[in-house]
Amino acid sequence: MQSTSSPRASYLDFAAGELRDRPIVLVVHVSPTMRRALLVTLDLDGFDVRAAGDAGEALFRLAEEQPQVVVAELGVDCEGVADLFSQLRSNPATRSTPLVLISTAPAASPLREWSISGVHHVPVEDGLSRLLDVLHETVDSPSAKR
Amino acid sequence: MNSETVRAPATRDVVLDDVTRLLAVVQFLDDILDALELWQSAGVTDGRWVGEVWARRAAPWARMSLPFDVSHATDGWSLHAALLRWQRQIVEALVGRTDETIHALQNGPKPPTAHLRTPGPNGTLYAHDRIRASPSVLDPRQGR
Repeated sequence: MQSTSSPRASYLDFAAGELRDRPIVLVVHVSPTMRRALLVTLDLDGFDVRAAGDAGEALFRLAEEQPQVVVAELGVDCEGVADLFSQLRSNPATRSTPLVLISTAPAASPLREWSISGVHHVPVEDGLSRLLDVLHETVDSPSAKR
Repeated sequence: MNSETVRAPATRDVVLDDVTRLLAVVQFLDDILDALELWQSAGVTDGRWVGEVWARRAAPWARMSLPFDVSHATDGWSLHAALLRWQRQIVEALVGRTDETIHALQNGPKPPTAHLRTPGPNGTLYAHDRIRASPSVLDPRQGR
């Protein structure tokens, strides 16, 4: 069975003497392999990761627990992204939760034109390093603090 | 086993702390290798994130820099191979250290050996001396 969350505290936290709560990140990705790779990597980088395979599952997870940030890659499913964004903003508890979009959609896609407060774009060609940087900046921002 | 030696503060605080640190590094490298393999199976070969995650999450407590061939790997496969080599070196050092420590605890002081760097009190050479004498493991920048 595919794991959908990472351990709450890892040996790294103990080794680093950090017993802090790790920021919760919800990863929404259609590809199980990419989802798993993101889960393992973000966990290594100090995040507590939840995962979902589509917008519907993401909304289900959001009802269970509020993450500090949502990372979504839904390919060309613009409607799915729009639903996710609309649900995030309509719930008072997640109204200010930042949404990071990994943009794999074609350059002409409307998703790349989104310029809305609280939505961060990371073009897939920028690489994983850029995504990790954006996530660290985002969870450190006041809107992501719980 | 000589329990007094095991409980000696110097042994517990210095030797075991180093072992724990190296074991955590081995585990961290294992997790990095897992992640790299997952990315490669997804067709992503960019491994630049490894150095950044190491710097953020491991360097402060591991007190080690990435070896030259890890930090300068040009593609995902050579990065994977370099990490694997480094992990194996650390494991080998740990295994050597364990043998030495057990020998020292069970048999008392051991005569100096040429390949070990510095004798401890009474001429005893513990395995941690050997690890410290191995620059490629604890300070990869010196060994390459």
